[in-house]
Amino acid sequence: MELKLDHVTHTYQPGSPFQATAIRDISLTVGDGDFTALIGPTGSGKSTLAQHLNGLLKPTEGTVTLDGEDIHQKGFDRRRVRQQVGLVFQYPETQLFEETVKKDIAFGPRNLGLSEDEIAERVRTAMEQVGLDFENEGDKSPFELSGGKMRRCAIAGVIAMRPKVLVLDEPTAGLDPEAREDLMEMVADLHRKGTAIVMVTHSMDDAAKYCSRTVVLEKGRVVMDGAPREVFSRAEELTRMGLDVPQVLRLGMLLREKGIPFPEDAIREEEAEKALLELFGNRSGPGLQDRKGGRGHA
Amino acid sequence: MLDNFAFGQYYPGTSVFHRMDPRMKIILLILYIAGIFCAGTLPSFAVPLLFMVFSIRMAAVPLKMVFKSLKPLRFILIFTFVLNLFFLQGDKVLLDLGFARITREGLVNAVLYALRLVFLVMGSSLLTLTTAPVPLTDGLERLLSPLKAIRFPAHEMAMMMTIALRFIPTLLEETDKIMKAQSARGADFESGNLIQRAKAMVPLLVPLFVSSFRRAGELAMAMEARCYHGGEGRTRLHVLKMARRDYIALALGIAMVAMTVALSRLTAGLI
Amino acid sequence: MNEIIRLEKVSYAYEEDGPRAVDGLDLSFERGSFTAVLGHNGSGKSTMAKMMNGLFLPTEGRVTVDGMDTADEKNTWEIRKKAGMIFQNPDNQLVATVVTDDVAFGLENLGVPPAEMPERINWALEQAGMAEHAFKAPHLLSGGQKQRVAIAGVLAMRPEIIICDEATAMLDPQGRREVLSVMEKLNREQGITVIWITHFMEEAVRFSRLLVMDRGRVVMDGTPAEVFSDEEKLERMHLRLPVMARLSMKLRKENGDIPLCLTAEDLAREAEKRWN
Repeated sequence: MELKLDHVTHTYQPGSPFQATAIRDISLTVGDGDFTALIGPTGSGKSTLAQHLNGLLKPTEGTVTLDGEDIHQKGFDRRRVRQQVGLVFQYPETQLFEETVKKDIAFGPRNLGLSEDEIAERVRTAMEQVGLDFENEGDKSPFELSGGKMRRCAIAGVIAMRPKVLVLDEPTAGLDPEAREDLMEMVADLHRKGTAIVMVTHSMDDAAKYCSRTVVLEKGRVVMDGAPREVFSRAEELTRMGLDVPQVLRLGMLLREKGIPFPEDAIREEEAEKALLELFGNRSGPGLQDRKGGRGHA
Repeated sequence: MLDNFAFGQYYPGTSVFHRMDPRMKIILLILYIAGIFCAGTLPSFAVPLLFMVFSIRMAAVPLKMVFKSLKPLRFILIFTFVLNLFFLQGDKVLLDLGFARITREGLVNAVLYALRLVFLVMGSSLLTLTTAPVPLTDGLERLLSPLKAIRFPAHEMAMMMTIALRFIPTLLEETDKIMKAQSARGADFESGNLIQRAKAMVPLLVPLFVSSFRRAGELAMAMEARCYHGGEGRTRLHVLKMARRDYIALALGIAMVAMTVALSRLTAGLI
Repeated sequence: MNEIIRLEKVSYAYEEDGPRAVDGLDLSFERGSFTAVLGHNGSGKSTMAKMMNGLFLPTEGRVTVDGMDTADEKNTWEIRKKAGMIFQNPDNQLVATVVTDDVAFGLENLGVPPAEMPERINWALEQAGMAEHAFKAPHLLSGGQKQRVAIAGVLAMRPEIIICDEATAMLDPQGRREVLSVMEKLNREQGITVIWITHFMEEAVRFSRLLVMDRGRVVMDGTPAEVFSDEEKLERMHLRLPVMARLSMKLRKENGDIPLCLTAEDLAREAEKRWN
């Protein structure tokens, strides 16, 4: 599978006084196995870009191709792109509408024209994947679920279409820390099982922890695109755009300013932990234990 | 999908019309409507027509903007015209279709009704073009407030209008988002017969209702937290004060109605 | 310092004989204090907040704001004027179609003379950093800006307390920073008592007192350093330590000398001390 944006520009309400170009000349390829973080300040065009990936928006200029075929050409089955590229909007729980969780999740597969057996099977698997209990929660009204579970239910509704690419627009917005962590683990799990992920996020820590690639948008253009380590090495530029950097990276910058040789490429928590222990732990480095004697392993 | 919906139609400006007290503008509109309904003959419509031309000039609003408001009404206009054309049956037959006849009286009547509708809409749009939503609701509330004596909920009505205006863009945005989210799950809002299309609206309407109710609940709580307790003892930021221009406008408005009535009487026999 | 809000054995149930969302709270807040309330969704923080300005009345117990009982109807408006509240959803708390008119809303409800309003509105917008947007329509503002308009609306009423009920939950990082710094400034410069409900641990470290709620009770109460030193208990409350706190605690296990650090700056400073 290859989803490709080629020189895509999108202008809202062209020709009217409200004309606004949201994204400009964007070329981007999403392939199997990718886990891409899409970051950028509010209003940089992330959501507009996301909506081009499954053909909800049509580029004003440029093309979007799925395995080489233009998805907006005449005769291209729109259902195919909707099926292959799933899109989870921000606060997706607002789109729930059915009487039961099962029925709501079945909405997508049913629109694909699948058989009842196939639909039932997909609903069951999708619920498992998002960590909902098919037996106990399947017949509940989705509106009775807790906030975190409502979100999972909505995501299951997209997963049930078995997309090859799953695009998520700030999937953890508004959740509490535990629900956030659980949801990110769930997305990481989907990725491990073969779904390519594109995730719009404001959390640089999540981008550093989970993603294999980071794309930075500013004013509708791609300004950086590469491995998280590469992108975050340009911390100053990111800060200038009003973006955060991973907390570990910031710690590293502060430490190096003070002459402490903290590795420059550390962006994840476990990397920081390792580096700090090497610098200040018992085993090595001119840590404090030299002076006071290590009180280490208590 | 819905983003090109032209919201409101206030046309900012500093003309006499813009600066007039919103209450007087509403009174003028009522007088104007009275005027066009008093115009019982075609020649007597010259007065409201002149008044309209004069008002548009004073308001310094592009003519195009005023006419734009008529566009959504074109079907109703045609419908009422045709209905009136056949409804009133006079003696002077102009055209006999066999199953129905068009008479001179019917034609005149149809033209009159169509003109009234056109002028009514143009007058109202002139009001909304020159008055921002806040003063408009303020003016309406204060004009209607004497009716509180007979338990007419003037304040509540104005508050409802304000909230509606505030939330129209928010709800449009939300509609657009839900429509897209359901399209992403393969929903089809655009094809199929009437029944299929109506059924396709369910996944849009249910979430919209759910979220509107949630919004309403949250807004009510936020308003209460800010000490909202109805219209009683409430003061307003904008103090409305009638100026000389408002009284002149009132005089002109009354004169317009009087002249229309007079002309209508004088020309009654002509047609 | 004296106390401005007091909760005595306060319980709240949404339905009669239903489960208690808030269960036997005994708690007070000092005048001018800067407190964050943490807790997972459904821990009762929001219910507690809504009892502190009389939006909810306790099923049992008593809530007093500056000595006034919230259950006494004649106090209702005085209490709400004193204790302003900012809610989670920026869209669902603005009423008017123009920013200034929205800020005026509370003043109009209080019956403030129109001549006094412009000055109070301008001051409030200035404080919230929204003066340049005074004549914009709310739907054209960003989430963070909308929340700051809401703050201005409360501020114009000259409150002594502002309760923020997850006011940053729906904002982007920049909006979160803006809103929290406005509240920090108001606490520092105007002496306004701030009660800040959140589940962002990184925000919580900036407060002088932290409360952790679980199942309607306050289970931890202390300075951030005190609260964050018990990682196990926090995890049981479905909360996480801030990243820097977690790193410093790991280091502490290896090198017992490093104290709990809440921010990157703290950790860097402590590390520096031990490097030379």
